Amino acid sequence: MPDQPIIIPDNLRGAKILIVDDSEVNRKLLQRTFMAYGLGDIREAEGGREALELLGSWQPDLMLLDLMMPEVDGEAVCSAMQDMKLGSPPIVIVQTARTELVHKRRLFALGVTDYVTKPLDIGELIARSVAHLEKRELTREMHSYNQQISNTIQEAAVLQMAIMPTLLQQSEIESRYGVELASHYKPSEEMGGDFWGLRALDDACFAVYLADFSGHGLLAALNTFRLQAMMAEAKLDYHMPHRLLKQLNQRLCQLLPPGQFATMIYMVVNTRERSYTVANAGSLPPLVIGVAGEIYNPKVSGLPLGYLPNAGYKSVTLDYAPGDMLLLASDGLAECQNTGADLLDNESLRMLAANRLTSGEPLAAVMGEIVQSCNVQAAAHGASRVTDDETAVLVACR
Amino acid sequence: MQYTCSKSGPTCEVVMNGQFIFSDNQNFRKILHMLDEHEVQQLTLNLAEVNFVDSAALGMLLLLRDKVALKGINMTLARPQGQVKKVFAVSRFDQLFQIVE
Repeated sequence: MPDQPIIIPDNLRGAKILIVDDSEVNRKLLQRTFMAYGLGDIREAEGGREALELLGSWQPDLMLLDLMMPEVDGEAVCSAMQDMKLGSPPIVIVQTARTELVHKRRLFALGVTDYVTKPLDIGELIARSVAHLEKRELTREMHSYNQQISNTIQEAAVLQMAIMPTLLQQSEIESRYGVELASHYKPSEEMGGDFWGLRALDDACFAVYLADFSGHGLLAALNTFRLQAMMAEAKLDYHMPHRLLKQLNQRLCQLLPPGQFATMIYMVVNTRERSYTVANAGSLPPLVIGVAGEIYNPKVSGLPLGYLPNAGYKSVTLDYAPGDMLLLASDGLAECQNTGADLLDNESLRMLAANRLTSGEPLAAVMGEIVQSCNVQAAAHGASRVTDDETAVLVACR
Repeated sequence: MQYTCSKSGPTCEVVMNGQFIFSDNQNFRKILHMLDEHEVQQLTLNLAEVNFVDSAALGMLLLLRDKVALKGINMTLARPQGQVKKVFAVSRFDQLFQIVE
Protein backbone atom coordinates (compact mmCIF):
# COMPACT_ATOMS: atom_id res chain seq x y z
CA MET A 1 0.00 0.00 0.00
CA PRO A 2 1.20 3.51 -0.73
CA ASP A 3 2.84 5.76 1.84
CA GLN A 4 0.85 8.74 0.53
CA PRO A 5 -2.71 7.78 -0.35
CA ILE A 6 -3.78 8.68 -3.89
CA ILE A 7 -7.40 9.66 -4.16
CA ILE A 8 -9.12 8.11 -7.15
CA PRO A 9 -11.98 10.31 -8.39
CA ASP A 10 -15.31 8.45 -8.56
CA ASN A 11 -15.71 9.01 -12.28
CA LEU A 12 -12.49 7.06 -12.96
CA ARG A 13 -13.49 3.94 -11.05
CA GLY A 14 -15.07 2.37 -14.10
CA ALA A 15 -12.05 3.07 -16.32
CA LYS A 16 -11.14 0.07 -18.48
CA ILE A 17 -7.53 -0.92 -17.99
CA LEU A 18 -5.67 -3.45 -20.11
CA ILE A 19 -2.51 -4.99 -18.66
CA VAL A 20 -0.22 -6.43 -21.31
CA ASP A 21 2.66 -8.51 -19.96
CA ASP A 22 4.01 -11.95 -20.81
CA SER A 23 4.78 -12.65 -17.14
CA GLU A 24 1.78 -13.91 -15.25
CA VAL A 25 3.29 -12.90 -11.91
CA ASN A 26 3.65 -9.32 -13.11
CA ARG A 27 0.12 -9.23 -14.50
CA LYS A 28 -1.39 -10.46 -11.24
CA LEU A 29 0.69 -8.02 -9.23
CA LEU A 30 -0.40 -5.08 -11.39
CA GLN A 31 -4.00 -6.19 -11.37
CA ARG A 32 -4.07 -6.42 -7.58
CA THR A 33 -2.43 -3.03 -7.32
CA PHE A 34 -4.99 -1.30 -9.53
CA MET A 35 -7.80 -3.08 -7.71
CA ALA A 36 -6.41 -2.02 -4.36
CA TYR A 37 -6.82 1.57 -5.54
CA GLY A 38 -10.40 0.94 -6.58
CA LEU A 39 -9.75 0.79 -10.30
CA GLY A 40 -11.66 -2.39 -10.94
CA ASP A 41 -12.41 -2.97 -14.62
CA ILE A 42 -9.21 -4.75 -15.60
CA ARG A 43 -8.34 -7.27 -18.28
CA GLU A 44 -5.11 -9.00 -19.07
CA ALA A 45 -3.31 -9.95 -22.25
CA GLU A 46 -0.31 -12.22 -22.16
CA GLY A 47 1.01 -11.13 -25.54
CA GLY A 48 0.81 -8.52 -28.28
CA ARG A 49 -1.65 -10.45 -30.40
CA GLU A 50 -4.23 -10.75 -27.62
CA ALA A 51 -3.67 -7.10 -26.73
CA LEU A 52 -4.50 -5.99 -30.28
CA GLU A 53 -7.66 -8.10 -30.24
CA LEU A 54 -8.83 -6.50 -27.03
CA LEU A 55 -7.95 -3.02 -28.28
CA GLY A 56 -10.44 -3.55 -31.08
CA SER A 57 -13.18 -5.42 -29.24
CA TRP A 58 -13.02 -4.06 -25.69
CA GLN A 59 -11.65 -0.56 -26.33
CA PRO A 60 -9.81 0.07 -23.07
CA ASP A 61 -9.18 3.56 -21.68
CA LEU A 62 -5.66 2.75 -20.60
CA MET A 63 -3.18 0.14 -21.71
CA LEU A 64 -0.22 -0.69 -19.50
CA LEU A 65 2.21 -2.22 -21.93
CA ASP A 66 5.34 -4.27 -21.39
CA LEU A 67 7.83 -3.74 -24.20
CA MET A 68 9.79 -6.97 -24.10
CA MET A 69 7.50 -9.78 -25.12
CA PRO A 70 8.02 -12.78 -27.40
CA GLU A 71 6.41 -12.71 -30.90
CA VAL A 72 4.49 -9.42 -31.08
CA ASP A 73 6.36 -7.07 -28.75
CA GLY A 74 5.28 -3.71 -27.25
CA GLU A 75 6.56 -1.56 -30.09
CA ALA A 76 4.79 -3.76 -32.64
CA VAL A 77 1.54 -3.34 -30.65
CA CYS A 78 1.97 0.44 -30.79
CA SER A 79 2.53 0.59 -34.53
CA ALA A 80 -0.31 -1.83 -35.23
CA MET A 81 -2.57 0.26 -33.00
CA GLN A 82 -1.78 3.37 -35.04
CA ASP A 83 -2.88 1.51 -38.17
CA MET A 84 -6.12 0.41 -36.50
CA LYS A 85 -7.36 4.03 -36.50
CA LEU A 86 -9.32 3.53 -33.31
CA GLY A 87 -12.07 6.08 -32.72
CA SER A 88 -10.89 6.66 -29.20
CA PRO A 89 -7.40 5.20 -28.78
CA PRO A 90 -6.36 4.35 -25.22
CA ILE A 91 -3.75 6.02 -23.08
CA VAL A 92 -0.62 3.92 -23.52
CA ILE A 93 1.83 3.68 -20.63
CA VAL A 94 4.82 1.46 -21.33
CA GLN A 95 7.06 -0.20 -18.85
CA THR A 96 10.63 -0.02 -19.96
CA ALA A 97 14.01 -0.80 -18.46
CA ARG A 98 15.76 1.57 -20.86
CA THR A 99 16.17 5.20 -20.01
CA GLU A 100 18.10 6.60 -23.01
CA LEU A 101 16.55 9.66 -24.57
CA VAL A 102 16.60 8.20 -28.10
CA HIS A 103 14.61 5.23 -26.91
CA LYS A 104 12.00 7.41 -25.18
CA ARG A 105 11.63 9.63 -28.23
CA ARG A 106 11.02 6.57 -30.36
CA LEU A 107 8.25 5.48 -28.02
CA PHE A 108 6.51 8.84 -28.16
CA ALA A 109 6.72 8.78 -31.96
CA LEU A 110 4.88 5.44 -31.82
CA GLY A 111 1.98 7.10 -30.01
CA VAL A 112 2.93 6.16 -26.46
CA THR A 113 1.45 8.56 -23.90
CA ASP A 114 3.90 8.01 -21.08
CA TYR A 115 6.37 5.54 -19.67
CA VAL A 116 7.41 4.13 -16.31
CA THR A 117 10.86 2.68 -15.77
CA LYS A 118 11.57 -0.67 -14.26
CA PRO A 119 11.83 -1.56 -11.47
CA LEU A 120 8.32 -0.18 -11.14
CA ASP A 121 7.39 2.26 -8.45
CA ILE A 122 3.73 1.49 -7.81
CA GLY A 123 2.94 4.96 -6.46
CA GLU A 124 4.35 6.56 -9.60
CA LEU A 125 2.47 4.18 -11.88
CA ILE A 126 -0.86 4.87 -10.18
CA ALA A 127 -0.27 8.62 -10.06
CA ARG A 128 0.56 8.75 -13.77
CA SER A 129 -2.36 6.52 -14.68
CA VAL A 130 -4.79 8.64 -12.70
CA ALA A 131 -3.43 11.89 -14.17
CA HIS A 132 -3.84 10.63 -17.72
CA LEU A 133 -7.25 9.11 -17.06
CA GLU A 134 -8.46 12.37 -15.57
CA LYS A 135 -7.26 14.31 -18.58
CA ARG A 136 -8.94 11.86 -20.90
CA GLU A 137 -12.17 12.08 -18.96
CA LEU A 138 -12.09 15.88 -19.09
CA THR A 139 -11.47 15.83 -22.82
CA ARG A 140 -14.34 13.41 -23.25
CA GLU A 141 -16.66 15.59 -21.19
CA MET A 142 -15.61 18.63 -23.19
CA HIS A 143 -16.27 16.84 -26.47
CA SER A 144 -19.65 15.70 -25.30
CA TYR A 145 -20.48 19.21 -24.08
CA ASN A 146 -19.39 20.70 -27.39
CA GLN A 147 -21.50 18.17 -29.20
CA GLN A 148 -24.48 19.01 -27.06
CA ILE A 149 -24.03 22.75 -27.66
CA SER A 150 -23.58 22.20 -31.35
CA ASN A 151 -26.77 20.11 -31.52
CA THR A 152 -28.69 22.77 -29.61
CA ILE A 153 -27.42 25.51 -31.91
CA GLN A 154 -28.41 23.48 -34.94
CA GLU A 155 -31.91 23.08 -33.55
CA ALA A 156 -32.03 26.80 -32.79
CA ALA A 157 -30.87 27.57 -36.32
CA VAL A 158 -33.81 25.56 -37.64
CA LEU A 159 -36.10 27.58 -35.35
CA GLN A 160 -34.59 30.78 -36.65
CA MET A 161 -35.20 29.77 -40.24
CA ALA A 162 -38.81 29.21 -39.25
CA ILE A 163 -39.30 32.83 -38.15
CA MET A 164 -38.54 33.99 -41.67
CA PRO A 165 -41.04 33.66 -44.51
CA THR A 166 -41.35 30.15 -45.90
CA LEU A 167 -41.56 29.59 -49.64
CA LEU A 168 -45.26 28.95 -49.17
CA GLN A 169 -45.78 32.30 -47.42
CA GLN A 170 -43.76 33.97 -50.16
CA SER A 171 -45.87 32.43 -52.87
CA GLU A 172 -49.07 33.49 -51.06
CA ILE A 173 -47.89 37.10 -51.18
CA GLU A 174 -46.87 36.62 -54.81
CA SER A 175 -50.24 35.38 -55.93
CA ARG A 176 -52.27 37.77 -53.81
CA TYR A 177 -50.42 40.90 -54.93
CA GLY A 178 -49.23 39.89 -58.36
CA VAL A 179 -45.55 40.38 -57.58
CA GLU A 180 -42.56 38.09 -57.73
CA LEU A 181 -40.29 37.56 -54.70
CA ALA A 182 -36.87 36.07 -54.18
CA SER A 183 -34.64 35.99 -51.13
CA HIS A 184 -31.15 35.12 -50.03
CA TYR A 185 -30.17 34.31 -46.44
CA LYS A 186 -26.75 33.13 -45.37
CA PRO A 187 -25.59 33.60 -41.77
CA SER A 188 -21.84 33.81 -41.22
CA GLU A 189 -22.09 31.32 -38.34
CA GLU A 190 -24.76 28.70 -37.63
CA MET A 191 -27.06 31.52 -36.61
CA GLY A 192 -27.05 35.14 -37.63
CA GLY A 193 -28.30 38.55 -36.61
CA ASP A 194 -30.14 39.21 -39.84
CA PHE A 195 -33.87 38.80 -40.12
CA TRP A 196 -36.36 39.54 -42.87
CA GLY A 197 -40.10 39.31 -43.17
CA LEU A 198 -43.27 39.86 -45.13
CA ARG A 199 -46.68 40.98 -44.01
CA ALA A 200 -49.94 41.19 -45.92
CA LEU A 201 -51.65 44.47 -44.98
CA ASP A 202 -54.78 44.84 -47.13
CA ASP A 203 -55.90 44.09 -50.67
CA ALA A 204 -53.46 46.53 -52.20
CA CYS A 205 -50.52 46.67 -49.78
CA PHE A 206 -47.98 44.35 -48.26
CA ALA A 207 -44.88 45.09 -46.23
CA VAL A 208 -41.39 43.72 -46.67
CA TYR A 209 -38.63 44.38 -44.18
CA LEU A 210 -35.08 43.49 -43.31
CA ALA A 211 -33.29 43.95 -39.99
CA ASP A 212 -29.71 43.40 -38.92
CA PHE A 213 -28.68 43.25 -35.28
CA SER A 214 -25.24 44.53 -34.39
CA GLY A 215 -22.57 41.86 -34.13
CA HIS A 216 -23.32 38.34 -35.29
CA GLY A 217 -23.59 34.82 -33.97
CA LEU A 218 -25.74 33.62 -31.11
CA LEU A 219 -26.25 36.89 -29.27
CA ALA A 220 -27.40 38.74 -32.36
CA ALA A 221 -29.54 35.74 -33.32
CA LEU A 222 -31.40 35.81 -30.00
CA ASN A 223 -32.34 39.40 -30.71
CA THR A 224 -33.92 38.43 -34.03
CA PHE A 225 -36.42 36.32 -32.06
CA ARG A 226 -37.27 39.32 -29.91
CA LEU A 227 -37.89 41.46 -32.95
CA GLN A 228 -39.95 38.77 -34.64
CA ALA A 229 -42.12 38.46 -31.53
CA MET A 230 -42.59 42.23 -31.48
CA MET A 231 -43.50 42.33 -35.14
CA ALA A 232 -45.99 39.51 -34.63
CA GLU A 233 -47.63 40.43 -31.35
CA ALA A 234 -47.37 44.12 -30.74
CA LYS A 235 -49.93 46.49 -32.21
CA LEU A 236 -47.85 48.50 -34.60
CA ASP A 237 -48.59 50.92 -37.40
CA TYR A 238 -47.75 48.42 -40.11
CA HIS A 239 -49.02 50.73 -42.87
CA MET A 240 -46.74 53.59 -41.86
CA PRO A 241 -43.08 52.71 -42.01
CA HIS A 242 -41.80 55.72 -40.03
CA ARG A 243 -44.28 55.18 -37.22
CA LEU A 244 -43.56 51.48 -37.09
CA LEU A 245 -39.82 52.10 -36.79
CA LYS A 246 -40.43 54.64 -34.06
CA GLN A 247 -42.53 52.13 -32.12
CA LEU A 248 -39.96 49.36 -32.54
CA ASN A 249 -37.19 51.74 -31.53
CA GLN A 250 -38.95 52.64 -28.29
CA ARG A 251 -39.45 48.98 -27.44
CA LEU A 252 -35.91 47.96 -28.35
CA CYS A 253 -34.45 50.83 -26.33
CA GLN A 254 -35.98 49.22 -23.26
CA LEU A 255 -34.69 45.76 -24.13
CA LEU A 256 -31.24 46.07 -25.64
CA PRO A 257 -28.17 46.60 -23.47
CA PRO A 258 -25.80 49.49 -24.34
CA GLY A 259 -23.81 48.87 -27.49
CA GLN A 260 -26.39 46.58 -29.08
CA PHE A 261 -28.78 47.87 -31.69
CA ALA A 262 -30.49 46.92 -34.91
CA THR A 263 -30.62 48.46 -38.31
CA MET A 264 -33.86 47.99 -40.16
CA ILE A 265 -35.49 48.91 -43.41
CA TYR A 266 -39.27 48.69 -43.69
CA MET A 267 -41.13 49.11 -46.94
CA VAL A 268 -44.82 49.05 -47.80
CA VAL A 269 -45.53 48.20 -51.41
CA ASN A 270 -48.85 49.53 -52.70
CA THR A 271 -49.70 47.49 -55.78
CA ARG A 272 -52.84 49.49 -56.60
CA GLU A 273 -51.08 52.84 -56.72
CA ARG A 274 -47.81 51.35 -57.96
CA SER A 275 -45.83 53.02 -55.19
CA TYR A 276 -43.70 52.06 -52.27
CA THR A 277 -43.26 53.81 -48.96
CA VAL A 278 -40.04 53.21 -47.11
CA ALA A 279 -38.43 54.24 -43.84
CA ASN A 280 -34.93 53.40 -42.76
CA ALA A 281 -33.19 52.91 -39.42
CA GLY A 282 -29.54 52.77 -40.39
CA SER A 283 -29.85 50.07 -43.06
CA LEU A 284 -28.66 50.36 -46.60
CA PRO A 285 -31.40 52.20 -48.52
CA PRO A 286 -33.36 50.06 -50.98
CA LEU A 287 -32.07 49.79 -54.48
CA VAL A 288 -34.51 50.21 -57.32
CA ILE A 289 -33.47 48.43 -60.49
CA GLY A 290 -35.62 49.97 -63.20
CA VAL A 291 -37.00 47.91 -66.02
CA ALA A 292 -35.09 50.12 -68.49
CA GLY A 293 -31.86 49.57 -66.59
CA GLU A 294 -31.83 52.73 -64.48
CA ILE A 295 -30.59 52.24 -60.93
CA TYR A 296 -32.00 54.39 -58.19
CA ASN A 297 -31.21 54.67 -54.50
CA PRO A 298 -33.99 56.48 -52.61
CA LYS A 299 -32.39 58.72 -50.01
CA VAL A 300 -33.78 57.40 -46.75
CA SER A 301 -31.84 57.34 -43.52
CA GLY A 302 -32.44 57.19 -39.79
CA LEU A 303 -30.87 56.26 -36.48
CA PRO A 304 -30.44 52.54 -35.75
CA LEU A 305 -33.09 51.02 -33.48
CA GLY A 306 -32.47 50.59 -29.79
CA TYR A 307 -30.21 53.48 -28.94
CA LEU A 308 -32.07 56.77 -28.63
CA PRO A 309 -35.63 56.40 -27.24
CA ASN A 310 -36.92 59.60 -28.80
CA ALA A 311 -35.44 59.05 -32.26
CA GLY A 312 -37.76 59.98 -35.11
CA TYR A 313 -38.00 58.47 -38.59
CA LYS A 314 -39.25 59.62 -41.96
CA SER A 315 -41.15 57.80 -44.68
CA VAL A 316 -40.56 58.45 -48.34
CA THR A 317 -43.13 57.45 -50.97
CA LEU A 318 -42.07 56.87 -54.55
CA ASP A 319 -43.69 55.40 -57.63
CA TYR A 320 -42.52 52.32 -59.43
CA ALA A 321 -43.05 51.17 -63.00
CA PRO A 322 -44.19 47.68 -63.97
CA GLY A 323 -41.16 45.44 -64.17
CA ASP A 324 -39.09 47.44 -61.67
CA MET A 325 -37.22 45.41 -59.07
CA LEU A 326 -36.82 46.55 -55.47
CA LEU A 327 -33.83 45.17 -53.63
CA LEU A 328 -33.31 45.19 -49.87
CA ALA A 329 -29.89 43.94 -48.85
CA SER A 330 -27.91 43.72 -45.62
CA ASP A 331 -24.44 45.28 -45.49
CA GLY A 332 -22.97 41.78 -45.20
CA LEU A 333 -23.96 41.13 -48.80
CA ALA A 334 -23.51 44.56 -50.30
CA GLU A 335 -20.32 45.85 -48.71
CA CYS A 336 -16.75 44.70 -48.94
CA GLN A 337 -15.16 44.32 -45.55
CA ASN A 338 -11.60 44.78 -46.79
CA THR A 339 -12.04 48.04 -48.59
CA GLY A 340 -15.53 49.22 -47.76
CA ALA A 341 -16.31 49.15 -51.47
CA ASP A 342 -19.90 48.87 -52.64
CA LEU A 343 -20.31 45.40 -54.11
CA LEU A 344 -23.68 46.04 -55.72
CA ASP A 345 -22.15 47.26 -58.88
CA ASN A 346 -24.56 49.32 -61.00
CA GLU A 347 -23.26 48.03 -64.30
CA SER A 348 -23.80 44.39 -63.33
CA LEU A 349 -27.29 45.20 -62.02
CA ARG A 350 -28.15 46.98 -65.27
CA MET A 351 -27.07 43.94 -67.23
CA LEU A 352 -29.12 41.65 -65.00
CA ALA A 353 -32.18 43.83 -65.54
CA ALA A 354 -31.71 43.88 -69.31
CA ASN A 355 -31.14 40.15 -69.36
CA ARG A 356 -34.31 39.45 -67.38
CA LEU A 357 -36.29 41.66 -69.72
CA THR A 358 -35.26 39.62 -72.76
CA SER A 359 -35.07 36.14 -71.24
CA GLY A 360 -37.85 36.45 -68.66
CA GLU A 361 -35.82 34.34 -66.26
CA PRO A 362 -37.31 33.66 -62.82
CA LEU A 363 -36.54 36.16 -60.08
CA ALA A 364 -34.77 33.54 -57.98
CA ALA A 365 -32.21 33.25 -60.77
CA VAL A 366 -31.72 37.03 -60.76
CA MET A 367 -31.23 36.92 -56.98
CA GLY A 368 -28.65 34.20 -57.44
CA GLU A 369 -26.83 36.29 -60.02
CA ILE A 370 -26.83 39.34 -57.75
CA VAL A 371 -25.27 37.29 -54.94
CA GLN A 372 -22.80 35.80 -57.38
CA SER A 373 -21.90 39.24 -58.70
CA CYS A 374 -21.27 40.52 -55.13
CA ASN A 375 -19.05 37.50 -54.48
CA VAL A 376 -17.05 38.16 -57.63
CA GLN A 377 -16.64 41.81 -56.71
CA ALA A 378 -15.59 40.87 -53.17
CA ALA A 379 -13.03 38.42 -54.50
CA ALA A 380 -11.67 41.14 -56.76
CA HIS A 381 -11.10 43.20 -53.61
CA GLY A 382 -9.44 40.23 -51.95
CA ALA A 383 -12.17 39.82 -49.32
CA SER A 384 -13.44 36.55 -47.94
CA ARG A 385 -17.21 36.34 -47.60
CA VAL A 386 -17.69 34.60 -44.30
CA THR A 387 -17.43 37.49 -41.90
CA ASP A 388 -20.95 38.85 -41.82
CA ASP A 389 -24.49 37.64 -42.29
CA GLU A 390 -25.85 38.08 -45.81
CA THR A 391 -29.50 38.71 -46.45
CA ALA A 392 -31.35 40.13 -49.42
CA VAL A 393 -34.93 40.31 -50.62
CA LEU A 394 -35.89 41.13 -54.16
CA VAL A 395 -39.39 42.20 -55.20
CA ALA A 396 -40.34 42.40 -58.87
CA CYS A 397 -43.39 44.58 -59.43
CA ARG A 398 -45.97 44.33 -62.16
CA MET B 1 -7.82 48.18 -36.71
CA GLN B 2 -4.72 49.89 -35.43
CA TYR B 3 -4.63 53.14 -33.60
CA THR B 4 -2.28 55.69 -32.20
CA CYS B 5 -3.14 58.03 -29.44
CA SER B 6 -1.58 61.45 -28.92
CA LYS B 7 -2.29 63.69 -25.98
CA SER B 8 -1.48 67.28 -25.45
CA GLY B 9 -2.88 68.64 -22.22
CA PRO B 10 -6.58 67.91 -22.00
CA THR B 11 -6.82 67.25 -25.75
CA CYS B 12 -6.54 63.75 -27.12
CA GLU B 13 -6.51 62.58 -30.70
CA VAL B 14 -6.94 58.91 -31.57
CA VAL B 15 -5.92 58.14 -35.14
CA MET B 16 -7.42 54.85 -36.30
CA ASN B 17 -6.71 52.92 -39.44
CA GLY B 18 -7.83 49.81 -41.29
CA GLN B 19 -11.11 48.02 -40.64
CA PHE B 20 -12.96 48.84 -37.47
CA ILE B 21 -14.97 45.70 -36.76
CA PHE B 22 -16.38 43.26 -34.19
CA SER B 23 -12.95 41.80 -33.37
CA ASP B 24 -11.59 45.23 -32.36
CA ASN B 25 -13.54 45.04 -29.15
CA GLN B 26 -10.44 44.67 -26.96
CA ASN B 27 -8.62 47.48 -28.72
CA PHE B 28 -11.57 49.73 -28.27
CA ARG B 29 -11.84 48.91 -24.59
CA LYS B 30 -8.31 50.25 -24.21
CA ILE B 31 -9.46 53.56 -25.64
CA LEU B 32 -12.39 53.62 -23.23
CA HIS B 33 -10.05 52.75 -20.39
CA MET B 34 -7.68 55.52 -21.36
CA LEU B 35 -10.47 58.03 -20.71
CA ASP B 36 -10.65 56.81 -17.12
CA GLU B 37 -6.96 57.16 -16.54
CA HIS B 38 -6.35 60.56 -18.07
CA GLU B 39 -8.05 63.87 -17.70
CA VAL B 40 -9.40 64.46 -21.21
CA GLN B 41 -11.68 67.33 -22.17
CA GLN B 42 -11.57 67.10 -25.94
CA LEU B 43 -11.44 63.75 -27.73
CA THR B 44 -11.05 63.47 -31.49
CA LEU B 45 -11.33 60.16 -33.33
CA ASN B 46 -9.57 60.63 -36.62
CA LEU B 47 -11.20 58.19 -39.04
CA ALA B 48 -9.54 59.34 -42.27
CA GLU B 49 -7.68 56.04 -42.63
CA VAL B 50 -10.54 53.76 -41.58
CA ASN B 51 -11.91 52.06 -44.69
CA PHE B 52 -14.64 49.91 -43.15
CA VAL B 53 -16.90 49.88 -40.11
CA ASP B 54 -19.35 47.10 -39.31
CA SER B 55 -22.40 47.24 -37.08
CA ALA B 56 -20.39 46.19 -34.04
CA ALA B 57 -18.08 49.16 -34.55
CA LEU B 58 -21.08 51.49 -34.63
CA GLY B 59 -22.13 49.89 -31.35
CA MET B 60 -18.73 50.65 -29.86
CA LEU B 61 -18.98 54.27 -30.98
CA LEU B 62 -22.36 54.49 -29.28
CA LEU B 63 -20.83 53.10 -26.08
CA LEU B 64 -18.10 55.70 -26.36
CA ARG B 65 -20.71 58.40 -26.85
CA ASP B 66 -22.40 57.36 -23.59
CA LYS B 67 -19.09 57.35 -21.81
CA VAL B 68 -17.93 60.78 -22.91
CA ALA B 69 -21.35 62.23 -22.15
CA LEU B 70 -21.05 60.89 -18.63
CA LYS B 71 -17.60 62.38 -18.21
CA GLY B 72 -18.46 65.69 -19.85
CA ILE B 73 -15.90 65.17 -22.61
CA ASN B 74 -16.40 66.87 -25.93
CA MET B 75 -15.99 64.35 -28.73
CA THR B 76 -15.51 64.74 -32.46
CA LEU B 77 -15.47 62.13 -35.21
CA ALA B 78 -13.12 63.52 -37.80
CA ARG B 79 -12.88 62.95 -41.54
CA PRO B 80 -14.88 59.77 -42.17
CA GLN B 81 -14.34 58.56 -45.74
CA GLY B 82 -15.99 56.19 -48.21
CA GLN B 83 -18.04 53.42 -46.64
CA VAL B 84 -17.63 54.92 -43.15
CA LYS B 85 -19.05 58.22 -44.32
CA LYS B 86 -21.90 56.43 -46.07
CA VAL B 87 -22.77 54.34 -43.02
CA PHE B 88 -22.73 57.44 -40.80
CA ALA B 89 -25.09 59.09 -43.26
CA VAL B 90 -27.66 56.28 -43.47
CA SER B 91 -27.50 55.81 -39.70
CA ARG B 92 -27.88 59.55 -39.14
CA PHE B 93 -24.86 59.62 -36.88
CA ASP B 94 -24.77 63.36 -37.47
CA GLN B 95 -27.68 63.52 -35.01
CA LEU B 96 -25.59 61.85 -32.34
CA PHE B 97 -22.04 62.94 -32.97
CA GLN B 98 -20.18 66.01 -33.93
CA ILE B 99 -18.75 64.95 -37.29
CA VAL B 100 -16.08 67.07 -38.90
CA GLU B 101 -15.19 66.63 -42.56
